[in-house]
Amino acid sequence: MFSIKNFGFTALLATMLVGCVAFDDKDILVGESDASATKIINSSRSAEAGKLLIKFNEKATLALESAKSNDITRSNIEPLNMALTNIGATSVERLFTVDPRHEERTRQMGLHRWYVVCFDSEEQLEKAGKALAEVAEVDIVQYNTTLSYQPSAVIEAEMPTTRLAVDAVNDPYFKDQWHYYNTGSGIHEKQVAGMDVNVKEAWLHCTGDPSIIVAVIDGGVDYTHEDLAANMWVNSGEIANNGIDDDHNGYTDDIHGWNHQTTDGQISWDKPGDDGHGTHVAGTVAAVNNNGKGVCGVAGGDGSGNGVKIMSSQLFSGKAKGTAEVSAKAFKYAADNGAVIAQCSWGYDSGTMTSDKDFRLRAGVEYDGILYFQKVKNSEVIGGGLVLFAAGNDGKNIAGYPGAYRDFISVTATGCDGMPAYYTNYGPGANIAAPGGDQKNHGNKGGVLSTLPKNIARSGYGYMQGTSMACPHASGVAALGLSHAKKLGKKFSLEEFTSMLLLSTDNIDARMANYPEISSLYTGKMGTGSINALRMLMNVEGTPCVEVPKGALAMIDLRPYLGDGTLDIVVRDNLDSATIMSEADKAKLGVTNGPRISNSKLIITCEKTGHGYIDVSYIAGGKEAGYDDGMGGRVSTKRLAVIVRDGHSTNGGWM
Amino acid sequence: MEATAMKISKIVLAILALFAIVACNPNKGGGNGGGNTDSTWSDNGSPIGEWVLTEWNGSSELPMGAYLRLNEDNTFNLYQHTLSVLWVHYKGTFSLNGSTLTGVYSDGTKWNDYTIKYSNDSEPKQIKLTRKGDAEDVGIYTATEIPANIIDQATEATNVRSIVIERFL
Repeated sequence: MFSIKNFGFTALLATMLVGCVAFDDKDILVGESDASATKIINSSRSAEAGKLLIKFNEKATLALESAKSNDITRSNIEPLNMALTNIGATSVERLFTVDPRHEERTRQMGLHRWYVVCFDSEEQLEKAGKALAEVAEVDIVQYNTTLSYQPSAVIEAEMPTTRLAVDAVNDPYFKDQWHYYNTGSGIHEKQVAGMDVNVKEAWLHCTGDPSIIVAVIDGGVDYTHEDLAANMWVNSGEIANNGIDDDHNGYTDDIHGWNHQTTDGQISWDKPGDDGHGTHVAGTVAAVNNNGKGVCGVAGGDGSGNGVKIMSSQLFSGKAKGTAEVSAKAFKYAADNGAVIAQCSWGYDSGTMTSDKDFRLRAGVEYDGILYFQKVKNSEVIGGGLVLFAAGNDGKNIAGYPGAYRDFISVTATGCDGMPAYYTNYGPGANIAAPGGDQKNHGNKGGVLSTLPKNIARSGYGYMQGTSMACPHASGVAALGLSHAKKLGKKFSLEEFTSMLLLSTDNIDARMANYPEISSLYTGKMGTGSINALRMLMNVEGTPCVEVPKGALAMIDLRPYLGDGTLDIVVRDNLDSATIMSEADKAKLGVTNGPRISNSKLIITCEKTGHGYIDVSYIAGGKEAGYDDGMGGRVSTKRLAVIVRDGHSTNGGWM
Repeated sequence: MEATAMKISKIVLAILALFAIVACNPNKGGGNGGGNTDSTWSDNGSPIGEWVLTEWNGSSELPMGAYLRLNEDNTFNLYQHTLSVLWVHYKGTFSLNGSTLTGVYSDGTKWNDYTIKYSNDSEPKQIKLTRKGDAEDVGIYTATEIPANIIDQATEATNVRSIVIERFL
């Protein structure tokens, strides 16, 4: 079976981890052809002993729910009772914690049909799985895959000695956070100015909004950290440590989140085995800005308490290994308690699944949990939950799942020179790039600088690298975009917002053009481009305008409007022209030629002054759309306004 | 009585005729430069003040936006989101020569030349700028106070580092 690991590590460990190969269970599944075997969706290898995840059909679910006792044989379905008895089952419990506030939608999405069956661990797992698969009322049998946890080492930050005279913020480490604002000096001779997420300009317009909650599904977040505490989500309906589920959400004493490993509200970051990964990721999303302490976060506010909020939905904890069951629960908790973004810097090793269908069928309960998160609307500004994953650090030409799935966002990593980091996965399934650092090529400070628990770094701050560190940059920019939408009173569907996020990029392929050894590997494979926070806010603000000269054939490169010329965006040429521009707009603008798309250029001739709209469809990440039997990009549509005028000031001024 | 009736009839006919003339005027607003009828535009007025683009080429639903402040010392401040969706601040000087309004941005780039007309009696006041050389390029600007948040958030055109200006030209 697969291993799941978080995707952050130092240069020292990278060499070891890149070579880490996951198990693959395809050989075990081949040859199983009878009906019961098809219900078993994964392998028992690397699975937790003495436990099975079962998805019953509705009939069995009702029978279990209506029983008056809690006996394992409480249902009136005799074959099920017999199978449970034969495997020595000790408990049959609903997998997802029941949150009475959201039970209706839970049932609508079928999550109530997932159960955990525990039995004597001496009983052979596969034998038990097959026994339950033979019961007609069982739809899915999933072994509870153990998630391997790769420890992440850190390079502690040196104490800042100087501060830039003029800065957007007063946080002392901001000058070393090249990933936010890269001046082109101070980190490494190869660093390039502007190779960052461009927060400094974006912060002129928006720095965050506390109504936007980002769930860090990862190791526990140090909610006492001086640079995180003010931006931690606080469950206002819960009273800390009173042993009572005050808000009746099914979780007792969940103040800043929930530890799904220990099944309590004690978020942990300082147990043996904890490595600060979740705290580091959280700081990149929303360390408190302008508080005169430590570092900045992408959506950390301006120091007045207006940063986005961090919820710790703890997946990894100490030495305890995560499981498929735990990860699914982490998404459900985040959705039911208000999160709008799921920040996930972990995933399966790349190549262990090679098609969307493969992932969907084999990751049963995780897939259902993520889908639930996507469908829950927790903010007025977006119609569902946004899910971002790290692409993985295997250095392979294929992104790891779950992020590689066409409906999720997979984030690749770049260094301070704007080039792909040596470890990043790329290619099929990759959607967008962000700074993840490259300490192998650019030294310790070439990593991403963020918050850490003091048991990991005495100063509370340090460097890490990985797609794990790239992903929270993208999550932070998404959170910034949602905050800006809130301020403007704008509302978007999940699809619309995802499209805007994927188009909020700078060109990455052009940077590689002069380096054949790099471009030959990565061109067109890093996603739509490097994420740019200012572009995100621009996309939220409104529809970009394309200027078309009146009375002349215009051939306008659309790529600057679809992510600044990233070559792996394919503007689809085969659309019916009627879907590009309405007949009314054509008449209004006196269109005599086009509009049509060729080689990513809009070709159109307009004879009348005025404005209209065109809708352009494109594929973000790869040359073809994602599909069940393979991997690919995400198909989206972008609306552009066309302004036809007889000319325009060369400096862009309206007059 | 008959004389009185005749007088009333003549007055009614005159009024109807006046309506008919107005109704048949091909220059009536609603197309290019709509909002006010041409009979309400004149060459007399002052451009000094703060204005917002409320109509362009006959349409009031615009994907772009522009606020223009024309100061008494012949300087101007222009806040726009046109080719960029974010607000960008331009400044420079303008001049009015008869009914021709033109200007120069602080970077030396010249405005286009516009013919300016002033609303006679509309409230709030409006100005109509028709671009010389393109009679379809007509912008109606309405007197307003430029919102403080737009002034605050606008990026200086000369300071935009990356994308707001150069990438969209």
